[in-house]
Amino acid sequence: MTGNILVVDDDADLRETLQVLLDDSGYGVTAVANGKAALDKLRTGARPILILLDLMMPEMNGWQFLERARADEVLDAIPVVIMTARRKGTDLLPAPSRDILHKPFDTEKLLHTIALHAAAADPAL
Amino acid sequence: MLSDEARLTERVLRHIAEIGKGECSITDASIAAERDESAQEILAGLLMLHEDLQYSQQRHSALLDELRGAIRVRDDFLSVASHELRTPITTLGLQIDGLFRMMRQQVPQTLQETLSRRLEITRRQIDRLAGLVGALIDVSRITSGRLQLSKQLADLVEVIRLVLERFGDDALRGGSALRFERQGPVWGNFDISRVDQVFTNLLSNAIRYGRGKPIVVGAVGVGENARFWVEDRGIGIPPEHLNRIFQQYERAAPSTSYAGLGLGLWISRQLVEAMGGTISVRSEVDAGSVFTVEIPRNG
Repeated sequence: MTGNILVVDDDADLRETLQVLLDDSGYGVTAVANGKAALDKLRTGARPILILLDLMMPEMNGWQFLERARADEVLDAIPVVIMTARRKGTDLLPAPSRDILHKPFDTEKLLHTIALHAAAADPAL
Repeated sequence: MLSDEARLTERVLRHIAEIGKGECSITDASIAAERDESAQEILAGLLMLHEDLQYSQQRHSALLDELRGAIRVRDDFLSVASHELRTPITTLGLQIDGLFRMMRQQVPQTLQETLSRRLEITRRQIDRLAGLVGALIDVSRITSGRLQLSKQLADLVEVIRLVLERFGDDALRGGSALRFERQGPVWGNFDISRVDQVFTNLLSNAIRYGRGKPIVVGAVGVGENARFWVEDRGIGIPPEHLNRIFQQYERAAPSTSYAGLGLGLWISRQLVEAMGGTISVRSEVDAGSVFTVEIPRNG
């Protein structure tokens, strides 16, 4: 399984951890610190097979990012996996292409969830 | 025709009744209109009593508001802090996973055993930290009424078997042998993760207080209900503490000798009651304890 994953999280250590982990698992990774930087990347870079999204971030948080993504047909088609410690406020998020990873999650759960959605979204498979 | 004294007595009684209801029709003018000086003094005294009462009631309700506010701040803080802790725990856990992987791939065989042991301990401590944070989050959910159950068809025996599998090493470290008594599957609509949590709590208590003696757990269907229990032969609980152990922050064992937040059984009771069930205990000092949970199968 290959393809590029966009990691959006304001926690630099978690960002780096995910980057190394996903890289080791054969994914390409682009990591940014907030929703605004993610939109910029999506406008200029290649389309990722999946977005791994934190919710609470400065500048533009995950909810705002999802709202913007929903208004754009191309962006809306990219699967999003939300990483959050909260249960409140996440019930309105799931759509077929969205999933939630509740913190703390382990490597196995992370890779399984990613594989599930990346495969479903990849027409080549 | 009433005497002056009898009229005054009647009036005083009427005012006392008023004051009892939080009202008072005595005014400075009505006191001044009174001819008799001692009557004036009595009425002035009653007015003062009324004013003091009013003041202390206002003060009381202001303090109550303040207290409620402080509890809300505490609960909000507990909620934010415990959620905040989950991100570093996630990073720590993922890093340990990565180190395990690196070790298996790149570290020479000779070093693997020591390293693996150290990583296991680190992993276990992270799991423990995650468990403690989970308990704080549960307290915050329960006290704010945000606890939600999600039930699905499941076999209670299977749920318990999985916990026992997870606990094998812990029990061994504590020296306790585990025995599981069951007959057949116990199907029902259960919130699997919450049943798992309650059973996990009872079992880890049994290991902690079980003095390394054998632990027996069981599961059985009893009509409309499902019942499971955990029996240890450990230190036991003195009768005077039996009611206390299910209360928040309470514990029968001294916190100077046994670790823990004093939240496990309280959370368990709240969860079991939210499922429409009951949790009970029988215990004898130095002989051990049996905790029994009964929950509806189709609740």
